[in-house]
Amino acid sequence: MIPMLKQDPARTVASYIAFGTKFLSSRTLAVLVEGFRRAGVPEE
Amino acid sequence: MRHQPLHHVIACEAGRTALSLCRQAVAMDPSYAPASTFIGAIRSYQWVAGAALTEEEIAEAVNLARQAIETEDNDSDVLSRSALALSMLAGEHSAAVSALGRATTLNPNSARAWGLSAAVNCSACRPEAAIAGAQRAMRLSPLDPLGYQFKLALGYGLMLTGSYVEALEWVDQSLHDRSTFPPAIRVKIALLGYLGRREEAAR
Repeated sequence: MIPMLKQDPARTVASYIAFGTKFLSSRTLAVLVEGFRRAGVPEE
Repeated sequence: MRHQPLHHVIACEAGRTALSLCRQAVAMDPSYAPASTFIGAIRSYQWVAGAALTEEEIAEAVNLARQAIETEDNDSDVLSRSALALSMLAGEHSAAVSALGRATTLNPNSARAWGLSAAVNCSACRPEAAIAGAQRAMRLSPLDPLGYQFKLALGYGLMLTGSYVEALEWVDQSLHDRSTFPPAIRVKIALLGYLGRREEAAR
């Protein structure tokens, strides 16, 4: 768990993908998700 | 227009107050797009901040934005706010970019139109346009109350081009101005990941 994201849709990669798919282009979402993974955001 | 200073405040209570004021204005004049499009803008800020919106709330905001783009196509502010709602609440980036192009043509000196253009272009993954829009917004209004959004859009656009170090500098400036801005926190975490600073992200 990343403390700064504990109340955020980005608290997990899966929850952020579900959230971001609604308003981000697939390329923007992919860039963010890759960064989250590298930062250690849990998958689920 | 008492709602205007409140619209960019993401805090739930301020958002509710701003929405209430907008609804009162729309109740008096349903065709008053300057108020109706604030509903979409407020919902957009709530949504990107992570607030849970109902399908009905999203549909209302998107429909008001679509109507406004059709009926008020000579009002830069109305077009800008409508574009934000279309992009952030419906993922309709092409329509949003088109509306923002018209908005910035109508009023090339509108820092807010350029700033919203930058934000929408980040979502649409058009980083060059996002960077240019954010830089122009900051030049036009260096001390704008929404400056933290302009700085985030610049950092976000730079991240999309792979310029991670410079991107983080701008995102940190955004967070310095508004430390609880959720989109900036997300972009910062992603940037720390790209920069291999995983321990810092975990603090």
